Amino acid sequence: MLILFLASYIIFIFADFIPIKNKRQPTLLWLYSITMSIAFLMSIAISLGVNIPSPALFIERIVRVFVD
Amino acid sequence: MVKEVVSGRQMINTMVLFIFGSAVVLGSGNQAKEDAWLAIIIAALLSCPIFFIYAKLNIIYPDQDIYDIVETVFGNKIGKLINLFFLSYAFILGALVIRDFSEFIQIVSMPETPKYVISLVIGVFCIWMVRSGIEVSARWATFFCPIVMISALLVTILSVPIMDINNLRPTLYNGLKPVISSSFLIFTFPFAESVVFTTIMNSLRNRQEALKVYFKSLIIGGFILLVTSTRNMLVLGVEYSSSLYFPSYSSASVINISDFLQRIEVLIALNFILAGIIKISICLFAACKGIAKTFNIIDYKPFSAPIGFLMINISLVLYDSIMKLVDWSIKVYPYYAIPFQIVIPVIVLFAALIKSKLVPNSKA
Repeated sequence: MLILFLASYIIFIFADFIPIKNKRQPTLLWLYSITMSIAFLMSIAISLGVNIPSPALFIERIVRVFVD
Repeated sequence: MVKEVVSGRQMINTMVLFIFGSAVVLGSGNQAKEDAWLAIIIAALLSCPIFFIYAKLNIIYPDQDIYDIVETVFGNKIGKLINLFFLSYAFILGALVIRDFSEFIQIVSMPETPKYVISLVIGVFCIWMVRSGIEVSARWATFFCPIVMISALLVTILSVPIMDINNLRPTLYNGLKPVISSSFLIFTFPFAESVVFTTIMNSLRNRQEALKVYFKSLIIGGFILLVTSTRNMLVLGVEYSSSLYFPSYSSASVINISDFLQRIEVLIALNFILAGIIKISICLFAACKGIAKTFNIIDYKPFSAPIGFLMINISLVLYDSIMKLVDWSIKVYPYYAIPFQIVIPVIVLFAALIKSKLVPNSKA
């Protein structure tokens, strides 16, 4: 699983990173790096079996406050 | 950045695929039992005013998407806050559809394949679609929409010999309450999910066509949904159809014409895959555009990969099983979706109308 994720991340980073760097937009570069890093770390955590809290449960709690 | 332009016909095809994408496979109106057809019609009628609101927003501000409109109307800070809120909906919706997709493929055809492989393959395809731009997606939808519609209608025609009209009787046996609650569910999923189109409607070549696009899509999408849902009830019966996760797939699997034409459920799987890809791509478009607009970045395409991968990851951790998915979709999702599908567009439209009257030059 980890290898599959790694391969897809590498392909997209290679395809995206140089054009983004050439655009000379620091905000874009930072934002891209941060979001990609979060996605990458999350993929590693999932493939290692780390229990990540589901946003569905969080949404459910908020909805229950208003509906129940 | 080069402005992307999509014709009215292409946008209608995209929205039709979006509307009946996952709903046609997951089934709609099961809670209304034999009155599912009535619930779908009521839901379509309920959707008319809200579709009018979405179209009106795009007509008042023809060169802007919902993110721009919100910022124009509410100012920079409050606007960005609302935009973040709205893009979170597009993001979660995309993750939900990826999950529906992977559950469907895993259950019906690849039980041994891990969910993440299916999600990754679909997700990467959608990321590439968003990188290619809305024009490519719209052309893709224009090519596949007739195929999907013909295959859905073909399955229905082939099911006629095994239909039993008594499965739809008696009408309104349980009263109007289950019909109304079911039509509310159908309104939030799939009709009013079209709110994400407010983020790409500014790509329409003739912006005054927005109303026509929304209503034609509602009529075509609603009709296909009505036909497939009624077919499922007629073929499988109320109790059996309501107890299945993928009733369309099951109703197609029982078709057998003279022991010659059978196993045509692959057409249903094809429908889901083709239409589902468009649905995920549109949600990814909306989320990427939202991120770009919030952080004042002109091009949204570089965000397709990170946001797409995040969507895949979130889809994997959303639920433990398909039982929870269905339970959440019925009990939580409709209430979660209302602020994004009704409250925000209505408030934005009223604020936009007031602003355009007070400041006549505020229109883009």
